[in-house]
Amino acid sequence: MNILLQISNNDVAVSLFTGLIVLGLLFGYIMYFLFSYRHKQKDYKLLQSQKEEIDTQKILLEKTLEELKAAQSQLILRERMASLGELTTGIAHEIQNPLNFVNNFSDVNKELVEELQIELNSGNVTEALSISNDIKENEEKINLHGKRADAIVKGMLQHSRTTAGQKELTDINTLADEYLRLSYHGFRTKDKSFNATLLTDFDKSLEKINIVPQEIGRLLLNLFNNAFYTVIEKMKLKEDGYEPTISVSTRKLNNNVQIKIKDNGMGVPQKIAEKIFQPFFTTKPTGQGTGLGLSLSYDIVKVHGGTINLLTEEGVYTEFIIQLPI
Amino acid sequence: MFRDIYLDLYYGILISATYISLSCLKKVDKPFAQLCLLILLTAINEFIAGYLYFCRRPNGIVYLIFTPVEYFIYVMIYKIFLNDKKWTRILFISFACLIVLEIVNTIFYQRLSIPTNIMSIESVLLVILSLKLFIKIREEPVYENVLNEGVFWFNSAVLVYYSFDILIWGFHSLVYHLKDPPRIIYNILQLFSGLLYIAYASSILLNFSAIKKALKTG
Repeated sequence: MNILLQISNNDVAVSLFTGLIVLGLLFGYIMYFLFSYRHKQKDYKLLQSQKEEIDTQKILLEKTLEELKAAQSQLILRERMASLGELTTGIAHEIQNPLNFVNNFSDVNKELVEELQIELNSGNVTEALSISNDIKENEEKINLHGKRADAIVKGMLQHSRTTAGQKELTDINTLADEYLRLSYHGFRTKDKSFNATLLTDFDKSLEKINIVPQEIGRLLLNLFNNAFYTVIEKMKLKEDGYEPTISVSTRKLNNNVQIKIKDNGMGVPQKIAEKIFQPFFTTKPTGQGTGLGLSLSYDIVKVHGGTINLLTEEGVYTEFIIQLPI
Repeated sequence: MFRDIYLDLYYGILISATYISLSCLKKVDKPFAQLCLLILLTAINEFIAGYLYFCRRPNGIVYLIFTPVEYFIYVMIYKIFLNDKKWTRILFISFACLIVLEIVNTIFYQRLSIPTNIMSIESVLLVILSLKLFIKIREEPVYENVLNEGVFWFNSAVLVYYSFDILIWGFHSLVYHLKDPPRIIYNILQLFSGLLYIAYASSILLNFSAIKKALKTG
């Protein structure tokens, strides 16, 4: 017990001393906390004001971005409308043909009906039956050409549609052929003297592929319009023996469809070849091009999971090679 | 029950803190309301323990129940102040560990006496939590004047009191079996306990006045 008492007396002194040291340390820690808190608070306030500034800038940037997006949508819409305008003349020409057929056959039918009435009045049934067969054939032709005109108008409406279309099985050869002719007639309407050789080499074995037809139609129309534009520009140079030629070919390559569109126009200078797919880049004079045609074409190909490449030689040719997955 | 000035002072402060806690219980923020509850439970616990001691009956069982309850309330308070998923997990794990240790301690070491081993472990945990909260407050110095914040006084009190608690219970384990153990250490404990409840009551009042001020300014 004596030993324990001795230990406890010593320990009281040691404990009190330790307690004082601990108290000093704790007091020191709390003082350090208060000092560092004030120091940090200054940095924090500065950081907060910078954060507020950044937030304000962020809001402004977001607003600007929204405005830019709206402007971009407007530009895309304008580009579509512009290409639709270019298409209109071609469409007018395309519709004219079936309309001529419809008018002519209805005129013929009108005469045939009069003849039919005469034959029926005279009791010549055999002749009347023969005439009625002719009328029926003509009606079928009217119907056929009416449907053709209907398909052209529907195509135009699809082209101008602003919402994204649905993928559907499409005959790429027919689509390429249709848009080639629409674009050609569009340019011919503007300049009656313009003639170009159109060479098509479509792979007949190609099956229908799953694409958004109005989107691919826009892509093809952009490329054809560019091709016709460049051959017209080259014609203005009046080179001897120059014959403007646009060629379109399709091929099946493994799991892809390859579409080649080639013209023997001005070609693209090497220094700008890399920029042609950039938005707002155009070599056309002010007011003639938005600079969005090839950029949108590039986007359309990318959305379809395909590729678009350019082969060119300045002053000789331009060839776009598109590959779309089947 | 009231044997010396230190004890009288301690009980006096505890009664005052309890009165403040009861007055402010529904008028302060959630962690301070929990602190009010803690003071209330401490007062009940201390008076039951004091009464048992006065009747010369063992009062260890009171602390056996109160220690985990007290730590659970601290866990809930620090959960709100630290506001961190990782630390919430740590808090609840530490509470579960404390319960397991208390069971082991009760069975094998301190059957009916005051569970000073568990109180020491609780003190270590609370010192760690208070240091962590100081670090958090310093990392996000959102308060205009930290000295006017209840959380600062609450946390400082926890850090100082429970650091001393570790020393006191350590010393207690050396002297408690003596026939006439030195009183000074227990007097210091009562003094610090009194200061702890003054700090707790101050932090509650600071929070209460901050809320009142905020309500006035709208």
